[in-house]
Amino acid sequence: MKPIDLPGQEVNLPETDNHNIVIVTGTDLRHKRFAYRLQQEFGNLVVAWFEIDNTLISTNNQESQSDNLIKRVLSYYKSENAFNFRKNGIIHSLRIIFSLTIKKLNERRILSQYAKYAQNNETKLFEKEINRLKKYSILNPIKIDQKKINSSEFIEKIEKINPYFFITLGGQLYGKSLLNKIRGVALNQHAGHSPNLKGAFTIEWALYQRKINFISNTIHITTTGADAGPILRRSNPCIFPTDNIHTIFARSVALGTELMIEVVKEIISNKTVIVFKQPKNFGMTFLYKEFSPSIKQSIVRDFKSNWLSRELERLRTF
Amino acid sequence: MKNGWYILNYHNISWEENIYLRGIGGSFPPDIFESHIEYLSKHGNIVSIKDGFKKYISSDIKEPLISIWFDDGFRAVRKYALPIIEDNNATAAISICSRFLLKKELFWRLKLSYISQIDSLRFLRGKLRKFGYKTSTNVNSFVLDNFSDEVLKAIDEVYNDFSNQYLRDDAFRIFDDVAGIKILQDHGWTIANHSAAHYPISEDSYFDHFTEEYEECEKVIKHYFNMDSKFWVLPFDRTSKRAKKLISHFNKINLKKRDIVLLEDKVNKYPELIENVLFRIVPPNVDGRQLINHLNKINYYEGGKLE
Repeated sequence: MKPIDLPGQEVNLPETDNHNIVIVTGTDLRHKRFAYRLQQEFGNLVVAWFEIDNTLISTNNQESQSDNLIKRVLSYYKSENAFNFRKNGIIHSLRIIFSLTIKKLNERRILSQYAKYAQNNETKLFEKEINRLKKYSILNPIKIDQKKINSSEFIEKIEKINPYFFITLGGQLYGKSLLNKIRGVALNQHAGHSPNLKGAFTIEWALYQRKINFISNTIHITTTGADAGPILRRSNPCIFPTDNIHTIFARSVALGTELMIEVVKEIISNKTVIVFKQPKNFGMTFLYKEFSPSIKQSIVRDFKSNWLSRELERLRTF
Repeated sequence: MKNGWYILNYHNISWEENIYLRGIGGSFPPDIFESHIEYLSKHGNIVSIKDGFKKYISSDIKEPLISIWFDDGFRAVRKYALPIIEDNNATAAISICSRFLLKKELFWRLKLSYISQIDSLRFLRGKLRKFGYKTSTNVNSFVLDNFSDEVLKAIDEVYNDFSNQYLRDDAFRIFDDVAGIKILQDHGWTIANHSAAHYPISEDSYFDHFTEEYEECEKVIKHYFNMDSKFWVLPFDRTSKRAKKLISHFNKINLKKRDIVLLEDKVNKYPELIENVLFRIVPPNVDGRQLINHLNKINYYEGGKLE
């Protein structure tokens, strides 16, 4: 669906006979579904599939990662005045260090449990469909380290492929040097309601704000801003009354995949498309770190009190 | 599950439920639908409408038979439900409304859903007052209970005021087109007549239009799919609001010996009890396992008045 709240304008994309596609995704099941669906629909037009794999860290990087971790831990304790022995006294300082450590470990446990539940729910939703889709796969993914996405090495690779479409799901921000190498258009799928909710965990933020109509998926032209490019499609996923945070997120991504296919088909057949520019200085862009365990717990409390099924019922009773 | 023919009535199977559909409900995500089919296939035999009907008519049902029936002609049914049903070596039925199929008119309930989701109901309420609407009444029910061309016009006016042309054109993508329905026909699906524009023609408020609405849709089915439909499927079918003369009127005009398809939680078992009528069951918003529990509680039609 096209957004109803933003003004549309016609944009002419470059004419071509070669609509080749490069895909960039993460490694989760929803990403694989995305890549397989695109290959199912567009076959040999899909010429490369890069998979951002965060486990790909070189030895040098591993060493510098642990150095960074130590620095971050020390800096955290310092910011909470844990090392102020003169003021706190040794015993009290040790107590502060101990309680901060427990707090941090608990937060990590909650977030790691969150990731595990997300994975389990994705498996439940997508496993069967992915087994059906695998037969359409014509490419194996090329693994790439997230830190190398805007490197000159990767940009050279893309330049060599010379894609018309550069289609992304997940990953970090893409730089201008990379985006300028795309012959036609770079498109990104954002699990969120742009321009109102951009950045990270935007489905969760919509749930936290109890705004069902902001549980959406947005297909937009990729720019250097997070989820801020001109919109081509935005719509809402089919939410089931017994859904949880993770199934809602997964459904939003599944919807976005279908919207992306719709957009690519439209561009292939008609180079003049309507785009909906996002106003600057509107909405919110959320950082990863802002989604704290306490936000997550608020959402969980809502679900436990059956907010979702009541809200869906309310929307249908008028 | 009892031995009998269970016809399950779905509408939309999709990952998407936008503001045109959110206010109506009735959509199932593909994974939930797949869970339904998985459990149904474990507890009965999923059959085509043709096969189910044959066994029903000849009173030859020795196990639970299940058929799947989709109403309104949503495009996503072909995209998501077709592969799932084919994986179970079955076919299904789809009831189409000719004006949605040909993009002549958007389903009025979708317009109502749109209006409700963008805070424009207050404008519609204003227009409905002259028909007797009071704020304490539910708009949805009021419109159905007092359906008329004037009420329809009021909905159209508000919808047009708060949408623009490309949005209105884009909305039709929700429905399948002739080429899409032909694909379903080629895959062995039953195509049924759901009337021209899904007005409440089985209810007193709009019953006078019953024949013309079905005949308009029948002409389109004949023209594009080269067939006469075997089934006329009632839109809405609010059991308590059925027009008294519905069945008798249908039998009077039913020269082609069609069946009228109702929406009432009943299992089809005894064709001798009622001629030319089929019952369908609405699956509740539950997963596959709970769907079976629900179906276990449904009884046969054992006679009695329908109108």
